[in-house]
Parts: sequence; C-alpha cells; structure tokens
Amino acid sequence: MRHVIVTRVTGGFVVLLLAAVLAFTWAARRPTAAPVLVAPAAPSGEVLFQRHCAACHDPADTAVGYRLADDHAAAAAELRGFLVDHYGPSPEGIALIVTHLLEPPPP
Amino acid sequence: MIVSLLLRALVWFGLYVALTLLPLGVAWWERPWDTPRPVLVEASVATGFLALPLMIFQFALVSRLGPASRPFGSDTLMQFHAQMGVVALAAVALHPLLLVVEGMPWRAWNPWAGPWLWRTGAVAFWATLLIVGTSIWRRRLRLSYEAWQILHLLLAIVITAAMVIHILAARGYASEPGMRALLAGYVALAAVLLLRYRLVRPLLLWRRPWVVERNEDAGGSTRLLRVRPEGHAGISFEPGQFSWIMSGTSPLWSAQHPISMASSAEGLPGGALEFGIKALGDWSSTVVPALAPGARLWVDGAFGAFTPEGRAAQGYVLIAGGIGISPMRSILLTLRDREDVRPVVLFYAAHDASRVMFREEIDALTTVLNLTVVYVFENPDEDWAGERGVVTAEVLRRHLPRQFRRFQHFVCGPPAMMDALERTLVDIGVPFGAVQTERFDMV
Repeated sequence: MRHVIVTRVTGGFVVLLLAAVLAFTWAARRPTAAPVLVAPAAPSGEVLFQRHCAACHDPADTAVGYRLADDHAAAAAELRGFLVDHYGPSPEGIALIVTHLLEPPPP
Repeated sequence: MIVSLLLRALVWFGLYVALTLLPLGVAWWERPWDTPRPVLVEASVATGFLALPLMIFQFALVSRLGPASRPFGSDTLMQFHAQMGVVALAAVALHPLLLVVEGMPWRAWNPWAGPWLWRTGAVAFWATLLIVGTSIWRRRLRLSYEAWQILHLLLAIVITAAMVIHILAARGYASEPGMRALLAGYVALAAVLLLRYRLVRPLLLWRRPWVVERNEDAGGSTRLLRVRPEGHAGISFEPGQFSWIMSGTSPLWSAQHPISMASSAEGLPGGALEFGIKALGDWSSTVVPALAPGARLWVDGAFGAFTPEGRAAQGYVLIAGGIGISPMRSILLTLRDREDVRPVVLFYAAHDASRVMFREEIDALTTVLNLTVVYVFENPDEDWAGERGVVTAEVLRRHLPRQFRRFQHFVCGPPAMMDALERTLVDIGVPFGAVQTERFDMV
C-alpha cells in the first residue's frame, strides 16, 4: 500500500506548494514592516531600466520608435502607459525610465 | 525498527519540503522591489522558485543515497520522483503562463530567438515537457529502456542548467546575495549528486565485478542467473530486495536494470546471488539469455523495502503474478534456511501451468516449510482441478487461515493485479499497513 500513501503524500505536498505560492504572492507585495531610517539614494532611470526591463528589452530597440515619433509627448504617454500595464514600478520610477529612454543617445 | 524507519522517513521528507520551499523564503526575505508588483508577476516568480528545487531534488530522489532511501524503499522514491516530475512540469508551465496573462508575448516560448532570459526559460519548459512525456509514454513512443535512460539524464542536465541561467538572467530576486548563495549551493548539490551517481558509484562498482556462474531456463520465458563475486565478498541483502544489474564493458555507460534477488538471504556458497529475469524487453530478451558462464557484470545493491525483515507477523501471505514470484522465492528460501515454522500461504497467478516458474522447487518447499501453495491459472487445461481466473476475495477466503489478519501480506506482479489486490486485501480485513507491494513498472 506504499504507493497509495505516496500518491496521497504527493497530493498533500501539491496543496502545500500552492499555499506557498499564494503566501509568497501576498507577502512579496506587502510593504516592508521595518521603517526606513536612511533614505536610499534615488536610483537613476538607467538603473531602474536595468532592474525592471533590461532582461527582456534592449534600451535602444525600446526607445527608437519613440525617438523617431513626430509627437514626443504622445510617444512618452504611450510608453508610460505601457510601463504601468507591464511590470509597473512606481510613478516616479516610470518617469525616470521614460526620461532615460527618450534622451537622445550620446553622440 | 518500523518506528525508527518511520521517524527517519519523516526527517528526510521534512528536509525535502524545507529545502524545496527555502528559495521562496529567501526571495521574500530579500525582496528587492521598492513598490509592489502585479499579483500575477509575483505568483509567476513563486512557481519559478519552486520549479528549480523540485527539479534539483529529482536527482536526490533517484541517486540511491543509502540512508535516505532505506526508510522509504527505492520503488517508493521512484514513484515519488515520477509524480514530482509532473508537479515540476506544472510549475515550469505556470511560470510563463502567468506572465503571458500579465502581458509577456507568446514569442517568449521560442527557444531559438529572443533575449537569453526567454530562450533559457523556453528551453527549460520544452525540455521538461519532453522528459515527462518520454517517461509517461516511453512504450508508446517505442523508446527502448536503455535509450530512455540516456535521454532522461541528458534532459535533466539541460533543464537544470537552463533554469539556473534563466534565474540569473532575470536578475531581480537573483541579484540579491542570499539568493545567489542559495542557488550556488543547490547547483553544487545537484552536481555532487550527479557525479556520485553517474561517475563515482560506477567507478567503485567497476572494481567489484561479478561473474556469471550459471544461466538456466527457469520456465515461463525466464532465466535464472547465478552470479558470484570476483575478488570481493559480495553483498548482503534482505529477502525480497532488489539490485541494479549492469552488463557490458563497464558500469560507467551500461544501462541499469532493477532485478529482484531470487536466492536466500542466508547466502549461497561463495557469496553467490540468483536473479530471476523474465524476457520483457531488449536487454532481458537478447542480452541475458546470451550471458555465458564466465561473463562479467556488475551488481549495485541491495535496495527496496519489500521485505519481511523487521515486520512482526504471525505468518505470511505471498501473492505472486508472473515474474513477481522472484522475490517470493527469495523470501521462501530464506524462511527455509532459517527453519521458520510460521504458516505461509503462496498464491501464484499465471496464465497456465506452462508459464509457472520454479514449480518443482516451490512444490518441494511444502515438505520443509509450513507452506500452502495455491496456483491460480487464467487459462488452464480442461482437467485442471485447482483455482481458475484471477486471485479474488473469494479465492483468498477459500485458502487463508482463520488468523490471516495478523499475517504480513506481500504482493508482486503486474500493476493491475497489485492495484486490485491491495483493495481486495483491505476489503477482507487486512490492516492497511500489513500489505506490501513492489512496483518497478514506472516507465
């Protein structure tokens, strides 16, 4: 009957794993309980892009369409909306990333 | 002994659970984000961080770590390994699916294009699908056991490597020092387990060869192989256990076959062992019959918890189907050598009398053991006066002694037979813990 026990243990373990996924999802989205005593240095748009986006998106590819757009304000708004829908850092972070992407590349 | 084994099993399983959940705990502890991210992104991260340890500990489940495998039994660990493979596949699939819902494009599933993060994730997913698929449908895919073993190992290495690169490429949680240290530890553990299992252990076995002493027809398309150790003392085992047998030029690259010992655990002259091997596949049909006396092979054992050792019982009920008689022969011969006087009832199910193995020997054992043998033939001759069909509750009731509920019950045979008999034995009043089965038909 060991195989019956194994199947039951597997079932129980799967329930535990699902509970762990839910618990992590909930816990990871909670703000840290400890008060921040020293304000960290504000990250730059480039740092934020590296942290949130660079694993999947090349900055040059991402920005080129916007830089070529006639209406830069509309392009920036579109990029901002995309970032909010996508992986959503804070509004300040989004502003920094947008600025970083829309800056003309160094000569 | 049983309580001690149970405690050890709980400790090992607790460790397995803790190490599987540890990456989630470390990720939560070190979470690098200053603002909350979408729910589905974090849920996806969680499934990803579960998939990696699930995959890495798949190595541990089948790497024959003696202290860890003894409390469970190798067939139990193999079954858990197979089931956790499906669970790992679910985690590996859920991880990108949740991101797709969150906006990740479907082209991220293409392993040939895109950033490395996507490519490695896609490789891990498709390779996991392949490893699970080829294990579940090996026979339907007409994949030989030997080819499957090689493919399984290669895919497992590819999946683990792809997962680790994927996590490092994703940065985020993996940028934190604790998570990096944990990942390094897990990768090192997988490498050690793999090297020990595929290199160190075979090398040690290579120095302990066995030589075929006899290879004879035992009836029912089965060979009785007697091997003796060459230059070493051999192994000790408990009746009902099995060993992994490797033939060929070296245990380093030979396929490994789990075969039950069929001889007495009290030993044969010169430390010899006997194995009953039924022609069921390429190796057992072609290689085994051709093993001449003097041929060299390697034996890795003993493993398994399908044994009467350490189980208090007033007697034994043995139910065998086909080659399932092999471990029963070991149990019976051991009881004979130990001059055990407890009652034993053997139910031996076969298609017909011509497929019965070791018949003369089994019948002879009834004169030296308190043994009753009940042959059950599915398609017997017309003049057969014994039991017909399959082993059912009625057949059992007709032959079991009054006190059978205090016996230990051992069932070994085709999976469908074991499934049915496990239910039947409990239905007729045998305690759940007094029914032991042995299952090797995993792939």
